Amino acid sequence: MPGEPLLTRRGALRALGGLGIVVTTTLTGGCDVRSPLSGTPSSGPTGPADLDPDVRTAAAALAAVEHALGAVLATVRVHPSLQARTTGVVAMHRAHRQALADAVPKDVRRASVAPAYTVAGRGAVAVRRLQATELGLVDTLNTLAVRAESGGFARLLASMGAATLQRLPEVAR
Amino acid sequence: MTPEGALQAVLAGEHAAIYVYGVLGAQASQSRQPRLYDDLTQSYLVHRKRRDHLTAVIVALHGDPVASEPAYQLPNPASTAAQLVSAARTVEQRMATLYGQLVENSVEEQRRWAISALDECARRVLLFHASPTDFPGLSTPPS
Repeated sequence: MPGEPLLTRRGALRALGGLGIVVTTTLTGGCDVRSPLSGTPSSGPTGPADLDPDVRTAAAALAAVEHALGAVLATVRVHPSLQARTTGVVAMHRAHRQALADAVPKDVRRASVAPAYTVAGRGAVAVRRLQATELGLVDTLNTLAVRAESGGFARLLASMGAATLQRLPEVAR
Repeated sequence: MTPEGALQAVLAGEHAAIYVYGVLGAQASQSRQPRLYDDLTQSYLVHRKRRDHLTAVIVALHGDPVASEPAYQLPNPASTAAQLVSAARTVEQRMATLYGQLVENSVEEQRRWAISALDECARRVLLFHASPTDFPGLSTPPS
C-alpha cells in the first residue's frame, strides 16, 4: 500500500528554520549522506522496513519526546503544585516536538503508540518518576544521535538531549 | 566542513577556553569566592582534559594538531565576580556550538564523545548562571 511521500525539502527546511540540514560529509567515505529532512520525494514507503533510516530515527525521537511531554502533563494534572517548576520543560518538549514532527510521515506517527504513564499519588515519588523519564529521554536522544546518518540531524538530536539535561535541575527542585 | 576540520576547530576552541579559564581562575579568590573558584578550577581541568584527548585523536589520524595562540582576547575585562561568571558562560556557550559542529561531522565513537562533551558544556554553563535553552549546540535554532 503506497504511503505518503517523504516531507518536501521546503517543508523540512521551514520546520528547521532554514538550518539547512541536508547533507554532510562523513568519516567513512566522504560521501553525501541522505537526510530524511532533505525531502527527496519518493513513491512512498510501504511499511517501517522501507523507511529511510533517519525517518525511522526521527519517528523514534518524536515518540520519545511525546512520551516525556505526556508524562509531565499527566503529572501536573495530578499534582498542580508542580506546574510552576515544569513550565520550562513543557515548552522545551513542545519546541522539540515541533522540530521533529514535519520529518515523520503521519502514518508512521499513527503506527507508534506510547506506553501509558502512571503518575504516583505522592508528590515526591511523582517527581522522582518524572526525573527518571527525563533522564531516559536524554539517553534515547543521545543514542539516536549516534545512530543518525545525517550529521545535521545528529546534531539536532544531540542538542535536544543536552537541552533536556539542562532542565533536570528544574524538575528536581 | 571535513571531520578533521571540525576536530581542529574544537581543539582551537579548547586552547582558547583553557587560556580564558586560566585568567579567570587567577582573578577569583579561593577564600572570598570559594564556590566560584572551585567552578572555574574544575572547568579549567575539564577543558584541559578535552584538549589532550582531541590532540591525541588528531595525531592518531595523522593530522597536525593546531597550536595554541600565545594569548586570547577575553570576553570582558574579568575584574569583577559578575564579569568572571559572564566570561565563563560565554566560553561554555561557544564550546557547546563547537561540539555541536563536531557531532555533525563525526561518526560512531567520536560522535559519542562529542555528544558527551556537548552535554557537559550544557550542564556546566548552568554553573555560571545561564538559563536553559531549547537547542544548545546549534548555531541557529529551528524556527
